[in-house]
Amino acid sequence: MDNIWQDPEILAVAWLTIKVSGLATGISVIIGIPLGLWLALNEFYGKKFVVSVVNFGMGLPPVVVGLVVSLLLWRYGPLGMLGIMYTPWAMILAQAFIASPIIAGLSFAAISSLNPNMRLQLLSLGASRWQANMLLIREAKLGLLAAVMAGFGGVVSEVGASMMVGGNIKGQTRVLTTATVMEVGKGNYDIALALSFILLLVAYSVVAALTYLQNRTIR
Amino acid sequence: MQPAIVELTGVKVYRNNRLTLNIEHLTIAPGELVAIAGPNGAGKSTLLQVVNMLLPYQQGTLNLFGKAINKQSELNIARRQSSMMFQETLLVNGTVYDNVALPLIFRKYPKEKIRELVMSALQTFQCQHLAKRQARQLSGGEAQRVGLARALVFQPRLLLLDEPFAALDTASRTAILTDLKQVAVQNKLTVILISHNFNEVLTFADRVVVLAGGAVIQDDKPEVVLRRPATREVASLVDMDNVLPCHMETEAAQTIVRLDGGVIFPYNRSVTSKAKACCLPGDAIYILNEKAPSPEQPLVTVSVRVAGITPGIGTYKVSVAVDELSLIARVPREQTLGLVIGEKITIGFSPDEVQLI
Repeated sequence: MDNIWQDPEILAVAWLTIKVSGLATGISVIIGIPLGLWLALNEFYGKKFVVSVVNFGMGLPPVVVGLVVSLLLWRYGPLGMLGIMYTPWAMILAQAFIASPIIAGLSFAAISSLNPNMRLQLLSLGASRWQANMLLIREAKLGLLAAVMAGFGGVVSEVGASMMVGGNIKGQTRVLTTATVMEVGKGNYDIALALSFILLLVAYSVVAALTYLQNRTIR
Repeated sequence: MQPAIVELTGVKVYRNNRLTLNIEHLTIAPGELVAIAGPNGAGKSTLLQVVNMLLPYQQGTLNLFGKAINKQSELNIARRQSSMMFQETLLVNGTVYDNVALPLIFRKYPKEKIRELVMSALQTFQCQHLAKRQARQLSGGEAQRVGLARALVFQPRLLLLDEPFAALDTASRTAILTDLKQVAVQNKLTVILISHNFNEVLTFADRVVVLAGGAVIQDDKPEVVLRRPATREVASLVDMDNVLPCHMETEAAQTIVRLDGGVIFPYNRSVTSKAKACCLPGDAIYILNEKAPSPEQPLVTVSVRVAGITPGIGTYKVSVAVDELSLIARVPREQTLGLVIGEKITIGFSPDEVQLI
C-alpha cells in the first residue's frame, strides 16, 4: 500500500484507464454530437421513436453491452476477423457503445434548448449550413461539454463490459475498475481502496478540465 | 425600369395539411418600405420566411432580385443579398464586435475590411461604444440596435424585419425606426417590416400589405388602410373608432345607408352589395356648436347625448349615443371644455369619410 504511488503496474493501469475511456469518449463525441445535432435540427417521420431509442440507449446496462460486443468480436462472430477480443480496442468499442447514446441524447437536449430561430437567423445572415451548425455547437457549448462529461463518467466507471471484452489481463487490459473488483475478490481491501481513490482522481481531473473549458469566456 | 426585388405569384404554403400562406400576386419594387400587417396567424412570418428562403413553398413561383429561385446555388446567392431580423434579438455568445462581424466572416471578408465595416455599421446605429461589451449583457434597445447593425453590415439589398422592435418601449421603437428609415432611404434599401402596431407602420412604411388567413386582403398606402379598411379584420387591426352595423338600400340609382338610431345618408362611393358595416374614423366626426367653426362640406347631422369623455394627447375621445347607436368622436381638447355627461349635443360627419365593409 505504501508503495502504490510508485508502483509502475498501478500507474500503467491508471494510464490505460485514461487512454481507453478517453478514446471511447472521443469516438462517442464524433458519433454522438452530430447525431444529437441532426436529431435536434431535422423533422422527420418517426423522429419521436428515434429519440426514444437514443434516450433508452442512455441507460444501457454495461453488462449487456459487454455481452453483445463479446458476441460480435468472438472468433466466429461477425467482427471476429478483427481479432481484437481481449484487447484494449475491444474495451474502447464496448465503452463507445455505452457513451455514444449518452452524448447523443444530451447533445440533442442541449441543441434543442437553443432558440429554434437561432439557426434560421444564422442562415439568413448568410451562413452556410456548415457554418450555422458549427456556431450552434458553440452556442450549446455548456450543454455539450456536460454531455461529454456524462459520457466520460459513464465509461470510466463501468466494469461489466470492460471485464467481459477485455478480460482484465495483467499488463494488457487491466483498468482501474476491473483491478478494483479483482482486489476486492482477493480480499485486498487496502489496494482496492487505493485504486478507487486513483479512479476518482482520474475522473475528477478530466471533469475538472472539461468544467474549466465549459466556464471559460467564449470568444 | 428596374426589376422587382420580390415577386411572388401563386405561392402556397401548407403546414400540417393546412394552407398557411396563399399569395396570388405580390411585387415589391427596389427601395420600397413595406409593412406587413395582420392578426396573429395571418401568415406574416411565414411570408417573410418564404421570401428569405428559410421555408419551402409547395406551389407558385418566387422571383428575387429579378431572378427565379430554382436551385440551391441560386438560393444561396439570393439569400446572401438579403438579411432578416427576428422578434428575439438572437445574438450569439461573444462581444458586440464578434456578432456584427458574423455576416462578414460567413462571406470570408479580409480582417481589415471586417474591422472597417463593423465599426462603420456600429457608428450608423450609435453603438460603437458597445463594441467590446458582451452581447448578452446588452439592454433590449441596445441589443436591437446591434442586431440592426449586424443585419446591415454587409449592405444587403433587402432587409426583412419580423417584428424585431415589438418588445421595446414606444420612444425607443420610434427612435430606432427613424434611424432605420434614414439608412434605408440613403442606401435605397428595400425593407419589409412586420408590425402589429399601426403607429409604427405610419412612422416607417410607405405601403402596407394586410394579410388575413394567409392571403392579401388590402395593399395600399398606410393612410388609406387606416381610414378606409377593406374588411372588418383590417378595421379591427387599425383600431377603427366606429364600426357600425348598417343596411343599404338603392333609391333612384342612389345608395342610401341606414344606421341604428334613425341615421340615414346617401353614399356616393362604390360599394359591394355584401357590405354590412360602416367604418367612420373618430376624427371625421365634428361636434357642432356656435364656438367651433363648421366644416364646409355637407354633413350628416345627428342629435346625441354625451356618454363619456376620455382625455388624450392631441385629441380627446368623446363617446356619444342615441338609441342603439354609439359613436366615438375624436375632437380637440377645447371642444370638450364645458361638455357634461348626459348633455344633448349635435354631431356631424361627411358621408365621404364613411367606408362601407
